[in-house]
Amino acid sequence: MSWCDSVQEPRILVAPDPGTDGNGLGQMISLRHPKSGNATQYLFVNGMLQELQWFKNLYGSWFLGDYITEDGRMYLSTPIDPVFIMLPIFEEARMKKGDDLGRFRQLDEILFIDGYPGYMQLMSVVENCMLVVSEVKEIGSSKFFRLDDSKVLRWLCYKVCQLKQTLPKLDKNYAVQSEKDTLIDAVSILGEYLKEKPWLQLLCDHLKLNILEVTGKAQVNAEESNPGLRNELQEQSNDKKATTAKKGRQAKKVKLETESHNIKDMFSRASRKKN
Amino acid sequence: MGSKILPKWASKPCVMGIDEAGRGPVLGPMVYGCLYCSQSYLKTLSTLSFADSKTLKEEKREELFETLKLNDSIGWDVDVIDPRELSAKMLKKNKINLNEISHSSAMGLIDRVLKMGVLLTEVYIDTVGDAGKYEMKLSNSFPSIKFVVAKKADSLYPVVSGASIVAKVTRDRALREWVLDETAENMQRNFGSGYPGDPQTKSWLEDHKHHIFGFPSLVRFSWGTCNSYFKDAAEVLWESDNLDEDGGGSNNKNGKRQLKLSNVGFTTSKRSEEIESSGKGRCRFFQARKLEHLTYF
Repeated sequence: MSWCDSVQEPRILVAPDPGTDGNGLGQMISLRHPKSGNATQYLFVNGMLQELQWFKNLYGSWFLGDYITEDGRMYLSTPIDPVFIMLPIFEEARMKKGDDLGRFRQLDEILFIDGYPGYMQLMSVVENCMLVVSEVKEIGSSKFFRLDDSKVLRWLCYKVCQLKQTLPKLDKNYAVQSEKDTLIDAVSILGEYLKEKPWLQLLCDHLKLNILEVTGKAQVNAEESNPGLRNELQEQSNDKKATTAKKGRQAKKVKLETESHNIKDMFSRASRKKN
Repeated sequence: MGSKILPKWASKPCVMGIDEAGRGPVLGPMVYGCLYCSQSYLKTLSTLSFADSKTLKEEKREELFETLKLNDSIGWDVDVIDPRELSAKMLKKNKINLNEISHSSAMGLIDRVLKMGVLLTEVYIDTVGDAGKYEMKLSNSFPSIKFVVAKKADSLYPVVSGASIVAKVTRDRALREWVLDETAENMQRNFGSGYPGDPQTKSWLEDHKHHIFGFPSLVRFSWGTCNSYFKDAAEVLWESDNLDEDGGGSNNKNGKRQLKLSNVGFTTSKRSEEIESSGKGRCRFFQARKLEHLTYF
């Protein structure tokens, strides 16, 4: 349709209401993803940072009033702790070398990232939340921050505890599995937001978990006492994964070929039958 | 509608005529009408100026209908079949064709009148499909009634002529008073006779087609006429059970779709309906919920 050539099609996003007492409309800011480092959009609304996700079933679209939107995805914005976003930034900023603990830096210095002006918008949020994981020195009216490894570890352990308590409330299936499996699930969720080195490794070492279990690269509950067996199990797991992927692909192809109707074919069929 | 209190003449042998209006048009309802009276009234009925509704002008038909309604010696009834019902039945998986719909409607009217307590002994009806088969079908359902199924029954039998007027006027009024459900601002009502060959109807269909929703619900989507308007329409795909499809058909459909895609130059992009979130590459929590991470909104 010509009327919508210049206008972007509307989409469905579930997000917090900016409200009247908030700082106006939410805004999309570009930040580095804490794990991949890639440019990623985040929604900043009511002083809260939100990450974006989407969900869609096959063959979905939306009715919006008297109109239809082809993109059947449901976009979701969910809160993300800014500490996750800031960990790699602060890690880089302290310029740690060997046993040297690194340098104290001011926030406006730390948050000045070339190509990412969005970090500056988070100044007030960052000042509060990074106290949890940083040492702070005040000289006059200025504050200087330095990331502290032991504080980060304590904060991560707190996150794990929170998740271990929350997960069983979301899903009854967690009651069936072992406490260790729930622990692995909790840590693997955190693993979505942490680089493997140094933070995920540090956390796994502390909790006496194999990092490969958390990242899904090894069989769960592999015997640590038998390194050979572990390798063998890992290979089997890989084979199984490949098989599953192949099967999934085949199934999907078959489904697409056989399970869709074309409305034009229906009309053709009806027309043929009528004659 | 006939009077609620059963007239005395209805307990004596009665004769019914059945006819339809709006079988051929691509829009509006199909109406089956019936008219009945006592056998003794037949001679009087033939003196009234009922004629085949097709030979009468609309004003005359309306006038006759009003006269008919006021006549205590005549009973009448209608079955108005909505265009959406027609399309739904003709397009569904287990299709019901127009002849079957017609037969059911006619038999429905007979049944309705019998249940009122009218002593029907004879029914005259225009043929739909094979006359012999139709008559047999009717006789099997209503053994106590003598059926006359004939071509041009509306010209030959006054009760059918009367039924013709009942059906035609009912359809005309339904169309005149039709409330279009669609809320678009440019809805017009100058759709002409509704027959596929009518230039006014063709023009109306062209002006009122929608590339996703097709036509206003007034239109019979199951008509072959509609197909030619849909060549530029959006394709609509949906899931179906595996059992619905046979292997050969799917190959043809798949091939056909691929050809179509290459024609419009969309071969490289994934169709939006085939997009499905999976959470692949994420931890178990997000995979279980099929949540995908988004880097750019």
